[in-house]
This record gives sequence, C-alpha cells and structure tokens, in this order.
Amino acid sequence: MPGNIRQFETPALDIRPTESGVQATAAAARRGGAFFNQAAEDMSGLGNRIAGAVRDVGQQVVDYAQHREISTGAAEFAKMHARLTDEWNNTVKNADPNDTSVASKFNDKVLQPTLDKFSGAFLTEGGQRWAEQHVDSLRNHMFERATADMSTMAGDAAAANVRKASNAWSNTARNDPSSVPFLLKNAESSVNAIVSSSPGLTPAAASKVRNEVLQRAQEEIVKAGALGAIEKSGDPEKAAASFAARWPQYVNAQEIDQFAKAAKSFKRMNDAEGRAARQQADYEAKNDFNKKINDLETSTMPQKAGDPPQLPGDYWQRLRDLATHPGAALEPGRLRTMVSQGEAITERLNKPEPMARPSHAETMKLLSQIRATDEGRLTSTAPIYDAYQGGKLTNGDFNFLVKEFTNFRTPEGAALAQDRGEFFKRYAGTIDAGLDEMGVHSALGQQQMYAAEMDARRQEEVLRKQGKDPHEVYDPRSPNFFGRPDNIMKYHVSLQDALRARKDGNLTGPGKSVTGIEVIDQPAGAKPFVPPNTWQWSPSRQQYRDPSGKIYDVSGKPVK
Amino acid sequence: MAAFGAATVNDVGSAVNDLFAAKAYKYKAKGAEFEKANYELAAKFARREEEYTAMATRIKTAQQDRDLFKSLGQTRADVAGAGFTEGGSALDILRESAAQGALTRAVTEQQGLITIEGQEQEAKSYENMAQAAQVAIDAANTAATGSWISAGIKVGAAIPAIASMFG
Repeated sequence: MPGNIRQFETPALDIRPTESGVQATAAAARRGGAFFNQAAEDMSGLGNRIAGAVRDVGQQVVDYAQHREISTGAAEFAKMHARLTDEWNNTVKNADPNDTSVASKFNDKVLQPTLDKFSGAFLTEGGQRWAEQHVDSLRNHMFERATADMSTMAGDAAAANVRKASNAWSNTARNDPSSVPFLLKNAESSVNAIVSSSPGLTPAAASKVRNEVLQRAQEEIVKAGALGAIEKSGDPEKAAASFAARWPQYVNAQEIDQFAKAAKSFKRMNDAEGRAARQQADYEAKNDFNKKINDLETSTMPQKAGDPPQLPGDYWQRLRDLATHPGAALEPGRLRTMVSQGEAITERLNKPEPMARPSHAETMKLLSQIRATDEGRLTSTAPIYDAYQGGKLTNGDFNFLVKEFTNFRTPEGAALAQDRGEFFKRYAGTIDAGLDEMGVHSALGQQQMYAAEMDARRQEEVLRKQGKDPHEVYDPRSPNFFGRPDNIMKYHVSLQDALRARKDGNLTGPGKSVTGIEVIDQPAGAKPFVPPNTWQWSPSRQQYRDPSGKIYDVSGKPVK
Repeated sequence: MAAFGAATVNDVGSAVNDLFAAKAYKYKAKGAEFEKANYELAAKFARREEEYTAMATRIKTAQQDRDLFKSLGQTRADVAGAGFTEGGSALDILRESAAQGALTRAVTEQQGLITIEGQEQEAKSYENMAQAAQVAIDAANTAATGSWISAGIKVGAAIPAIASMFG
C-alpha cells in the first residue's frame, strides 16, 4: 500500500434471522388449540351434567305420571271389571241358551271396545305396560268366564231339552209300560244327538249331560214304567219285582218295594178320592141349594119393615125348579118349609093385622128361641111362619124375626146379637122390676123390654148409616151407650106397676098409663084396625105413619 | 303413538347433551382456526427469514468480492511500486471505502429491524394465547354456572323421593 492511504476496513458483515417470533407463534398455535379443547371439554362436561339432571328430573316426572296413571287406572279397572261382569251376567241371563254366538258378540261389541278405550287412556310407558298386562289378564279372565258360562248354558239347555223330552217319555212309559225298552234306546240316541249338535258344550259338560242327565232320564222312564205296571197289575209286588230284575241299573229293590207299597195304597186312595169328590159335590150342591132357597126367602121380604111379606110372581116356579136341584134331596125339609111359608104368606095376606101387644109378646118369645143355645133353639124359620100364619105376629114383627133369624147366622150378626143379648140380660132387672127369679118378665115388663130392644136396634141402624160401629150401642164407654141411666129409665117398669098390671090383667084399661103413654079403650063397636100395607108402625110410639107422613094412633085415628 | 317414559326422558337428555356437544365442537373448530391462523403467521414469519438469509448471503458474497478487490489492489500497489504502470488511484480507494461503510450501516440497521420484528411477532403470539386462554376461562365459568344449575335440578328431583320416606 503506498504511503499512508487508509481505507475502510469492513468488519465481517452478517444478518442473522431471528427464530423467536416464528417459534413463539407456533407455540401459541399449539397452546391456543389446547385452550379451545379445554373449553370444548368443559362444554361437553356441562352438557353431560345438565343432560343427567334432565334425565333425573324427567325420571321423577315419569315415575309420578306413571304412579298417578296406575293409581287412577287401578280404580277404573276395578269399576270396568265390575261393569263388564254385570253386562256379561245380564247378557247371559237374557240370552237364548241355544245361541252359541252370545260370547263372540259380547266380545266384539262390548268387551274389546271397552278394553281398547281403557288402554288408550294411558300415556306413560309404565302405565301402558300396566294397562296392557291387566287388559290381557281381564280379557283372558272374561274369555274363560264366557267360555265356562256358555258351556254351562249349553249344558243347561241340553239338560232342559232332555228334561222336556224326559217328561214325555215318562208319561208314555207310565201309560204304556211295554214301551220302556224302546224309550230307553230312544232316550240314549236323542241325548247323544243333542250333545253332539251343541258346539258350546265343553267335553266335561258334554260328558255330564251324556252320563248324568241321560242316566236320570232313563231312571225316570224305568220308574214311570214300573209305576204304570204296578198301577195296572193285579199283583203289584210281582210287577215291581219284574222291573227291578230287568233294569237293576235304573231302579233298585228298595225303590221297587216302595212302588209296590204305594200301589197297594193307590187303590185305597182312589176310593177315598172318589168318596171325597162325592161328598164335596154334595156339599157344594147343598150350599148352592140353600143359597137359592135363602134368596127366594129373602125375595119375600118387603122393602118397609111394617109391610106384609109378599110372594114374588115366580115364587112357585122357582120352587119347582129347586125341587129338581141336586141339593134338594139333601135338604128335603127346606123345600117343604118353603112351600109352607109360601102358603102362610098367601093365607096371611087376606087376614087383618093382629094386635101389637100379643105380637110383641110372641116376638120376644121367638127372639129368645132364636138366641137360645140349648135344644130349644130355632133351626128354621118354620115356627116364625107358623106364628105369622096363625095371626100371632104383625107384619113388622114377622119381618123383624125373619131378618133376625137370618142375621143371627152371619158372623157379624151373631157378634152383634151376642152383645145385644148380654146387654138386655144384664139390664132386664133394671127395666123390669117385676122380673122373677126364674127370669120370667112381668107382662108389662116384657112390653117394655120389647120397646127397649126395638129402640136399641133402631139406634144400631142409625150408627150403621153414619158409618159407625153398631156395637157402640152396647159399649159403656161410648157416648151412644144405650144403657145410660137417663135412657134406660124411659123403659123402667116399677114393681108396683108390674104388680098392678098383673092384678088387673089388663094393661090397656081405661085410665092406665104405661111409661107415660096413656092407654085408652077402643071405641065401642069398632072393629080391630087393620092398617094399609103401605103404613109404617112405630112400636115405641105405638103409632102408624102413612106414606105422606101423617100420624095415626093404634086404632087408625089421626093424631093431631 | 310413542308413550311418555324413560325413553322420552333419555331422548331429551341426549338432546341437551348434543346441544352442548355442538357448542364444544364449535370451540374445537375455533381452536383449530386459531391454530391455523397462528401456524400461517409462523409460516409467514419463516418466509421472511428466508429473505433475510438470502440477504445475508448476498452481503457475505459482497464482502468476499471486496476482499478479492482488496487483494487485487495490494497486488497493483506492489506492481506500481515495482515500477509497473498499472495501479489504482486514491479516488478509487475512497469510493470503495465509502461504499463499504454504507453497507455496514445498512446491515446493522437491517439486523435491528429483524430483531424488532421478531419481538413483535413474539408479543403478538402471547396476545393470541391470552385470548385463547380467555376463551377457556369463559367456558369454564359457564360450565361452573351450569353445574350449579344442574346440581339444583338434581336436588329438586331428589326431594320428592326423600319426602316420600317421611310422608
């Protein structure tokens, strides 16, 4: 190098690229990705936890819903079961036992729709599972029940059909014992046909019908045949023994022995039955005859108590008809009595009315005979008619006695008559102080007894028309009691009056007064007064009343 | 019609699980995108390093050329000193020195820039990592809140069963 010329000495130049940025960025990429992965794992874990919570809560909801459905469903299931059972029972009860489609129709129209509706009401899995199990169980139960019932029905129908036929076979066997062998074969073939043609019969039911029912039918045929033979045979034991020997499988020796014994008593019973029938016929004929006689007798009674009895226009024709009645021979006295009564009524029509007082005395005598309990008791109205025909009874008294006789034979009339009789027996001494120790009334007392009893009967009638009990007349507790002192004293006959009347022997002499009623003599030369048939007689007032209401005394003189 | 039951509850739970799984996959996708973006950035930085290496090569070549030039100049000086006519002038030396000085300065400045750029890249990468960490923090907080809620739901679900023991 010349001289001191200096030149620039360049150091070793070099550019060094730095890797720190690249490496840091690459490291950031790796590390940053890890952060995001961590965030993703956090989210994923959170998702798992929330999903688990949702499952837990959901399971609780599901459990609750299932429990609620099953609880409600259990109650509804029980109701449905009861309802279906009732419906099936009603269906079976009203079904034709020979109809084999009853069960399938019930299944299609009632059972299946009901079960479907029940199952469809469940929304939860558990509820549906429970419902399906129960529905299946119920369906199976109902099927088994229906099958059993249908089989029972079919068996019953078959048995009923066999029984119907069996009755006819038994009747035939009893009427014709020789037909028993044919009937036994016929029964067997008929029962087999009935059983084989019945599709609803289970083998067990078919076997029962084929064995038990057939056996019973054949036993009945053989027994009926045995009975028929016994009844027709002159030697019942022999006839019975032949049946026992021939068909021991259907009838045993003990039964046959009973049949034979029964046969012996059979004839005796027939005879007794015949006798009973005859007696019954006689009894009925007698009753009918008496009823017709009573009706005829009643038809003679007048509408009004004081009118005379009259014979209806057909009286004698009806008597002739009754003479041919089957009961006439059984009651010959009654026909004769009716003839006599007809004659008495006819004869009496043309006679005047007797005096009231003798009639009353006769009435009281006959009345006591009607009420008598000893052999003196009247058994027919003949004595009454005799008295009437003999002019001893007025029309009113006759009608009264006939009616009393009739009433006394009815339960009501007898009861009332007993009360009445007891009353007058008890008050006889009160009314008639002249009643002697033998129970015989004074003449005046008997009149007053008559008046009192007639008034008591009128009071009975008044109460009856008012709808009250006529027994009240004789009941001391009743306000209508006849024995009230103020009432009974109206009929009282003192001992003095009784003695005076007995002494005088004339109760109706001039100036006599009986219980306040003045007695006057009949005018001199006057004939006994015979009132018209249309007049009414008042025994208590001793007066007549004509249809217009006008009053007359005992002699027919108008009362002012 | 499907019945309401355990399967239904399981389906709902699975749906919830899937919803959160979708969210998780979103995070994973974002993470992948994050990695991709950073790797692309690293690649970009690496390509810049290539340029710097090429530049360094050129500088080294230039320096070797100068060493050769300086060797030739010495030779020429020796020749001129031996009376030969061929030789460099002082102006040539001056000019060549100035050029070398400028080069040295430029190289120094470039090296500084490269260093700054690398540090900026490093800082940027740390910022990105902080953002990614924040995403993980947010997700963890969300998961914590969700866990509280799910715990409450489970307790609520367990209460009726417990109550039934005393009811």
